[in-house]
Amino acid sequence: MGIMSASIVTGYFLMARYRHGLEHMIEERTAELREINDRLHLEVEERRRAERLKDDFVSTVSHELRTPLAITREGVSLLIDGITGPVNVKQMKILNTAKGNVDRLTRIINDLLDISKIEAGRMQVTREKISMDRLIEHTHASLAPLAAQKGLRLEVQATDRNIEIFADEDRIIQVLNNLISNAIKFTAEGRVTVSLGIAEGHMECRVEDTGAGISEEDMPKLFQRFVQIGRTNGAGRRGTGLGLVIAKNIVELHGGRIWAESELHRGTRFTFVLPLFSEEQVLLGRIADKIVEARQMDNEFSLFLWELRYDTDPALGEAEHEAVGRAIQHLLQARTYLRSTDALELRGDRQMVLLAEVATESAPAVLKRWKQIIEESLRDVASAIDIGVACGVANYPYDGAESHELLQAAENNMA
Amino acid sequence: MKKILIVDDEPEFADMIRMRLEANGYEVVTANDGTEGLAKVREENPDLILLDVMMPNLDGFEVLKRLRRSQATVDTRVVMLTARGETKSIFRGQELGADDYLIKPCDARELLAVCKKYCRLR
Repeated sequence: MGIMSASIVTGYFLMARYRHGLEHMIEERTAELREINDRLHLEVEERRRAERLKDDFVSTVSHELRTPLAITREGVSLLIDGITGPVNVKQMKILNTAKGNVDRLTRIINDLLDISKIEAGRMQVTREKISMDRLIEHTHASLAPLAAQKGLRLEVQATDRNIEIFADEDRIIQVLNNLISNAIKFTAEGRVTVSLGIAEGHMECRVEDTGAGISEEDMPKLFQRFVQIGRTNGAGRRGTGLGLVIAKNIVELHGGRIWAESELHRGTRFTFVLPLFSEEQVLLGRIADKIVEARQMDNEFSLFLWELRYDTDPALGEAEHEAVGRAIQHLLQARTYLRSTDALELRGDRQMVLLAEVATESAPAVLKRWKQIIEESLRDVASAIDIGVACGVANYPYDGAESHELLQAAENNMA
Repeated sequence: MKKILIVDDEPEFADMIRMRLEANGYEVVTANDGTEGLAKVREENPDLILLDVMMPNLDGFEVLKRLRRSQATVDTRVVMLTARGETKSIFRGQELGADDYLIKPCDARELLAVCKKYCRLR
C-alpha cells in the first residue's frame, strides 16, 4: 500500500511537471505568435502610411502644377479675347503660341498623373451605359478638322448599329482621341478609317491608317512608357510617349483588349474590344469600383453571394421569385443595418450580391448570422414553398484582386 | 448689376477670373480663404459664389457646409471650382448642396454660361 501510494504520488508529481512544461511551452509559442502578428500589423500599417503619402504627394503635385497653368492660360486668354484692349498681329501670334504650349503642358501633366494613378492601381472610372456609335460620331466631329488640315479623310464605318457598352465615357473618348490623332499624325496622305462592329459577342473598334507603318522591331515597344516610335513621318507635335500605355490600361480596366497590326509603308491598324453592355457587366463594374475604393482607403471588404434554392415548382411564378428576392433585400437592409457604403445588386432572378465592409476574420460569423435571419424570415414570407438559401463569401484582397475572381471564389465556396 | 464673390486661395487666379467677369458686366469681390469668404458673404450678399475646393484651413466643403447651415445663406447660389479628375469632389459638392461645378482651368465660355445661369435664377 505504501509503495503504491508512493508511486501514485510520484506519478502525479511527474504528470504535474510534464503538464507545467507543456503549459510553459504553449505560453512561449503564443507569445511568439503574438509578436509575429504584431510585427505583421506594423508592416501593413507602414505600407498603408506610405501609400497614403504617395497619394497626398500626387494630389499636391497635381495641384501645384495645374494652378500656375490655369492662371497663365486665363491671362493669355484674356489678352487674346481683347478684354484688356486691342492686340496687333504679331502680339496675337505670340499669344496663340503661348496658349498652344500651355495646353501642351496641360496634356503632358494629365498624362503623367494618369500614369501614376494607373501604376498605383488607383485609376477610377465612372461607368454608365453608353452608345459607342455616339462616341465615335463625337470623336469624328472633333478630329475631322485636324485630318482636313493635313488633307486626309477621316471616315467612319459601322457594320452594326446601337452598340452599347458599360464604360466611362470620358475615358473611352480619351482612347479614341489617342488612336485617331496618332493615326492622323503619322499619315502623310490617304485616309484614316474608324470602324465599329460586333465580333464574338464583343464590341470591336478599329482605327486604320494609310501611313508609314511600324517596323517589326518597334512593334513590341508600342505599348511601353515613354517610348516614341520613330515612324518616318514623325514631324509635328511630340507627345509624352504615354498615350498608348494609358489607352491600353483604360481598355484593360474595362475588361477589354487592345492590339496593333502594321505593315511598313502600307499602314497601321489598332483594334480594341470591350464587352457589350449587360447586367453582368454592370455587376462586375460595381465590384471593380469597390475594389478601387478599397485600394484607396486601404480597406478590405467581403463579397457575399446569395442564392435562393427551391424545387422548381410550376406554381411559383416570376412575380413570386421577385417578391422573395426583394424580401431578402429588405431583410438584410433592415435587420443588419447596411451602411451607405455597402452595395446590394441582384444577379439574375435567383442571386444577389452584397458588397460589405466586413473584415475577413468576421466574414464567416457575419455570414452565419445573416443566413439564420434570412432562413427564419423565408419561413415567414414563403411558408407554402420550400425555399432555402445558400451563400458563398469571398474577401478582397485575399480571395482575388479582380471582380471576376471574387465572384468565382464566392461561387466556389457556396454552401 | 449682378454681384459675384470669388473665394480662391490663389489671388492671381481670382484676379484673372475677376477681369473676365467685370468685362462681362458683373460686379466682382474676392476672398483669399474660407474664413474671409464667409465674412464677405455676409458683408456683400452676392448673387453667386464661385468657391474653390482646395484651400488650406477651411476648405471649400467646410465653407459650403456652413453656408447651408445658416438660414441667411441656405439658398445662395454656389458653384464649386475643382481640378480635373476629382469626381469625388463633384459628388461631395452636390451632396453638400452646391448648385454646380466648374473644372479648372475654366473655359471662358463655360464660366460665363454658368455665371449667367445662376445669377439669373434669383
